[in-house]
Amino acid sequence: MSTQEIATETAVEMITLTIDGFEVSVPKGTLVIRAAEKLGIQIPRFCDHPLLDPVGACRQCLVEIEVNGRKFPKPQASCTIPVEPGMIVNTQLTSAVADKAQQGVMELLLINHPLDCPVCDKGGECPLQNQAMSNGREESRFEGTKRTFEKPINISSQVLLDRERCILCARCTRFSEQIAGDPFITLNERGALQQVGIYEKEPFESYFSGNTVQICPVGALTGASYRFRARPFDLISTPSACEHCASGCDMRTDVRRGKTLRRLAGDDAAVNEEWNCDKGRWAFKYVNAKDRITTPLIRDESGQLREASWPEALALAAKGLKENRSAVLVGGRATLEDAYGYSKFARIALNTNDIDFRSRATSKEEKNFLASHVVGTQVNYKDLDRADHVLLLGFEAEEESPIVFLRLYKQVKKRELKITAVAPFTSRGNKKLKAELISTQAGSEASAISKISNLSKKSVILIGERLSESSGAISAAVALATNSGAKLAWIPRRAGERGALEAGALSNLLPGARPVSDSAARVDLQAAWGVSSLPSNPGLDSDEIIKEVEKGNIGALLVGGVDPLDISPDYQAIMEKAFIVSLEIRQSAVTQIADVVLPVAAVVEKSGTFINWESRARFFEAAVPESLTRSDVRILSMLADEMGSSINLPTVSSARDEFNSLGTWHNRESFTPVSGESTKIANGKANLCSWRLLLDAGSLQDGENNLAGTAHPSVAIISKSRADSLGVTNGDQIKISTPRGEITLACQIDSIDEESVWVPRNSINSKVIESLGITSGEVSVVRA
Amino acid sequence: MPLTDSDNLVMDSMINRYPRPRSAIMPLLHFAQSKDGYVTPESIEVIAKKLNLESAEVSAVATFYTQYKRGPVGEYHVGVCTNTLCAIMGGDEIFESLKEHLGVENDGVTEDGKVSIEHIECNAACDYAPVVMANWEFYDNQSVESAKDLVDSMRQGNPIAPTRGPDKLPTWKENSALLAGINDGLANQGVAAGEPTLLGLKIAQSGNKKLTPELTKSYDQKDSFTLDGYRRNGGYKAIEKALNMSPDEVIQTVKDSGLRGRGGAGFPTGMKWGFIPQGDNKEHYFVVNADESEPGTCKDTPLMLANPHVLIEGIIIGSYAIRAKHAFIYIRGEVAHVIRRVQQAIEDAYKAGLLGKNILGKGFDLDLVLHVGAGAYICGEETALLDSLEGFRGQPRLRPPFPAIAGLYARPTVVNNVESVASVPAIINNGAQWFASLGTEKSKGFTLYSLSGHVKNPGQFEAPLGITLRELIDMAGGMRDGNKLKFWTPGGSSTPIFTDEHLDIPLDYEGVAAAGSMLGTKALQIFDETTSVVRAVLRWTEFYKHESCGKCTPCREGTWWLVQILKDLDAGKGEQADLEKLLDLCDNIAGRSFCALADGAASPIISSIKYFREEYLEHLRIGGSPFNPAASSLLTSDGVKV
Repeated sequence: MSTQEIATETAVEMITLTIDGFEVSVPKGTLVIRAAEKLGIQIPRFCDHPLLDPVGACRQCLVEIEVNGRKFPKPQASCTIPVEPGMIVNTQLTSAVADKAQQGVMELLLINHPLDCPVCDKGGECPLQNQAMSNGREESRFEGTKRTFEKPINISSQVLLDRERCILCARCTRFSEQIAGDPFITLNERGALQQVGIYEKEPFESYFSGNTVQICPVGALTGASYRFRARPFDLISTPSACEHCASGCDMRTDVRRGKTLRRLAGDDAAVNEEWNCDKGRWAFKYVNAKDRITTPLIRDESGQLREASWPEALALAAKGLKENRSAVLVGGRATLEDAYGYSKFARIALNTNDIDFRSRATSKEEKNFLASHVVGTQVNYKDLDRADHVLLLGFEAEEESPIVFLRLYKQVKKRELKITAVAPFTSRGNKKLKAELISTQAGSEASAISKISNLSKKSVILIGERLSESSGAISAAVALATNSGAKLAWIPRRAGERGALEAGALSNLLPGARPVSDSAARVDLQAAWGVSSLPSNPGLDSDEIIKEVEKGNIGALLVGGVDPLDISPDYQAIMEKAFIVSLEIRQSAVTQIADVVLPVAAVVEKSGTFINWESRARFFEAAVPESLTRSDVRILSMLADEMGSSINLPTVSSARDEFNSLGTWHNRESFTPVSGESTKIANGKANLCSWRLLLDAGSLQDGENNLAGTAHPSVAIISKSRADSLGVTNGDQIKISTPRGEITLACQIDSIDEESVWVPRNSINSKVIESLGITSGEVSVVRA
Repeated sequence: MPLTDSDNLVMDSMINRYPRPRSAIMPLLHFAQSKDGYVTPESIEVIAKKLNLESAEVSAVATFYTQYKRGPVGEYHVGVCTNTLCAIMGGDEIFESLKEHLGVENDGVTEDGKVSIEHIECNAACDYAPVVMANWEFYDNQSVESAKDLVDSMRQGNPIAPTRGPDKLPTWKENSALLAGINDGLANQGVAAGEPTLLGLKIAQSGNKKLTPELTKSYDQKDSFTLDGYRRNGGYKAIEKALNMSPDEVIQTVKDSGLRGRGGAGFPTGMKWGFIPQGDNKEHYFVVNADESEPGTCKDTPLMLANPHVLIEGIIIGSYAIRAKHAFIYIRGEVAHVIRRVQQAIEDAYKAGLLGKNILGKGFDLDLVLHVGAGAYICGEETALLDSLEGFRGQPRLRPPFPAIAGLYARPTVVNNVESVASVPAIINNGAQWFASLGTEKSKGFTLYSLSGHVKNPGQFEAPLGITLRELIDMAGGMRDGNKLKFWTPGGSSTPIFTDEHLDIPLDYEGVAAAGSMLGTKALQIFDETTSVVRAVLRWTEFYKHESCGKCTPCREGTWWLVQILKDLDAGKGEQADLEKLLDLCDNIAGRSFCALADGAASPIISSIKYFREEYLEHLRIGGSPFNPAASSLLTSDGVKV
């Protein structure tokens, strides 16, 4: 446990000791090295890491210690010794023995370390370099032969290893085993030949591998995308937040001359601790994609998009939106401020509640649930830390919210936290969590959930966005939470969904948890916004909006960051009927059919706030402030002005300030449970289930081939009995089809529910919605 | 490794030996070698799958231990000991001439696939130096000629039989199966003990009262290693007595006897047992450290070869005392015949109701598992041993917690040396007072002294603690003809060396410590004035470099550097300042490392410079070694043993 963690627990016993003549009090259990930090005394170290178990391997942090008047005969590793009352510690600052011991260890570390700092990525930000200067000898006495290795070796498509630079602190291997549960890299060989390595046939394909690059105290582990690209002192670092999922990682974005060169996990003990996933770390090249839109575009007479000036484009957009009944599709990637802009724009400029941030499979049950049980509530990581039992419903933590996974894994490892998953099979992530499986077909979750009875007030139910795909399942979860007193949390996949919910980018909700149906809430908002009325009739969901477009009742759509293929293969063609104003960063299925395309800023180019699943605000500043692109809200504000219905949100900060000033409404919509139906599959057919893998064909991962190389291969998972009846074994190709189309993949036999077949939802060769037209339900499975 | 159904059953039975499956990783790797001759990638994957591990985790373990091979070895794999003592006595000549004779380099295999060769570290048979191992069977007292004959006989398909082993040399794969725990039924073949092992016993039998054979008393009986033989000599009487005592009374008896650990550190055995928390509702484990690998140390190996049941009886008593229902013997993997004998003894003890459920009807249950190592000196360090036994790389653990609190599988565990445990039955039989009456004030009882090197008759001597080297050399017939004692180790290569000034210090814990060294394992390696101390120290340093586990910086990097400096010094390269640098480096290594291995590496260097600084300088003055290696060898210029 880190000092910070110990200190935040209540009623800790404090221990007073003396370090270099100064008294300091720290919580019981604190290690000497960290007690020294509290005094500002930096003891050099390499293997020590506050989030990894102490190991005492590098021996760099040796100090002299005396307890009860008795001095340890040898210098001790301060990273392994917990403080004791009255302990007297003398570091290198006050002990000649400790100072010589540290210099001796440093000299030994350097005898086999190459002098390639000038070409090493770590040069300039290297703990070895820095501490060799602060705590090493001026000159080495080594005149012998250095150890050399073939260099570098790719331990995955994304991570390279220069073994001769490695000082064998084992941070990377300990991280992989203790934090990620992926012991794909290990220490091999022994003695002077000991080295980090992988098993020859199995690359380091952990979703969290990038953390090892970040915590490597030398330049032994490097990321292929950053290797040889920059010097640290040429980079401008900006604290940022991750746009990839709802975990809410604190990040750091490093930019050189307007171009993002790398992103690192930031430190936030309450959220991501010091970790992030590889998608968050490495998927940022989409910003510089060739199809990036940089100027407004309008569709000309010939049907082609052409560049236009802002006034021309805004005028055309305003006209189209004014002349038609219009609706708003926001997408799940907007910042809180942008979502607030869309929400206010819909109500004021378009006078409608027809707005939906959910560009995915949805249900009315979910919408009701979000407005009644999620908006305005808080459940957080700490609740997971303290839970006695965590239930995963429609949620694959490692794939869909990887930092939630790390937190669960930490508790499983530390105290055998009980995890139960309602799913068709136990995924790799859930195996690592030692999760108990309630084997359930897609569509039958409601009845499975209703049978669960072993939760308590200390339990936490985590609901993924996919639970909305199963009728009645959310209602069953709500009932379970009500009956057991367990906490209920909703974890969407996308980073913007929770913020959009709070911002009221939903047809039944206004900003600040105000139900559309609550006239007092509407009046309250009218006052705040200074408008005389707000639309009071319930709005349409995304599905209904598209249906109305098809019928010709809705003639214009304002679309921000939506891929219609995330919902249905038919939607693009239907949407084409409408006048479309698209706010986009890159060319997309929507810009192809849009009448006006307005370029907007990507995350690194703007400031904003993501609200993570906990309802925690993750504010970030622009990492590339010199970018000419602007956040959606600013463009929406211009568009509203053009339409003559101002929303007065000229900047991101004005939107944030205004949203914050609204506060949270006290009343919630009531929840109307929906009863579940169990899945019925015709004889000889299979029941499809699917979810997205963390690394897949998602458009925000475009342009990063090194990262894509570590994605899990697309396979279809079937049961042994199905394999037998099809006459296939592991690796054989099978075809999954619906009347709309088919997917052909290698099969993998697993202990999956007999009737089910699982495929990745949006991976290479497995685009479920596009190919099959459904996300779950009846499919045919045959040998390919 | 394509697996048959019966292979699968065998592998499952290996996994079932242990409370936790991962512990089976080492026997499974030995088993893989018995199938394929070496550890193939496929077998790594099979084992990973069996144990529900990642392949990388299995590979990490497999590459830690030198007995697991990465490529094919010969049907007969020959290891020539070139650790200091054997090297100096002639091992270096044997190794060089065998390479030339076979036309292969170190780790090479002959084209016919029959013979492979490697130089190995100390194989616990120093009183039989120079030693050659073949498929981990002993070939004692070798010469260049006999070693050539041996490999020739292998290539002709009719290998000469081991000196202390089965009647016929098993193949590499056959012995790999043995190491995996598959009994080949050959335990009763071969001698109980060789001549050097019997030396002290014979001298005692001829009336010498300075020696007190107890563990060794039956070594000269042909079947001393069998259950019948052991019983005939009064064996398994102590457990009857012990099981009628309360466990606490047993612990008290061992405490009262003053028995101290015989593995090197000398910690009081009874006190160690007393540390195990009682009534904690946790499993307790009793683990025997039979990983005898300290250079010069060769006492436990002949003990287990000639008298394995005394160890088992000690284990039963010890386990009863600490309330353990599971015991393990962690034995080094390079002593095939010893493994065979211990394995057979365990099986016989089970059959006789001495192990298993309700032992002797007293309601005490004990399972005993023989766990075979795979070539790693560091596993003699007790926490590294426990990690190895749990199926990890054998690297030392952080202490605290100590094994008594969180040892094997994080449960209270006692780890005792073979000789310590084997001493217990006699204490129970004869009483604590009897034992305490032997030895000196703080070093009670009898112990095994192993004399090797340049004495006329090397061998084992069982005597009360406190005997002197002068007395022992006398019994060994003196130094080899016409030569003078130059330097010696009191307890293995990790203990600072002594010279002829120290002939009369009492060889007990306090006496040796007072003179600036440690009693250690009582491995007395004797070198006469023909020996280059620089060469001896260089070779020991190479050993520590080879055996460093790699975990901590001072040991891993320090031994790498020390070897380079010593090589230069041995070759007469360098200057006087290099000696100071060497000493300063030792100061930065000893006491700075994670465990005591690096302290051991520094000991011979520091002590040799203390006593023989002039000799180091002489090397530098003349630009090379002033010694002729042939003069210190036991072999004549023709390679024949004299």
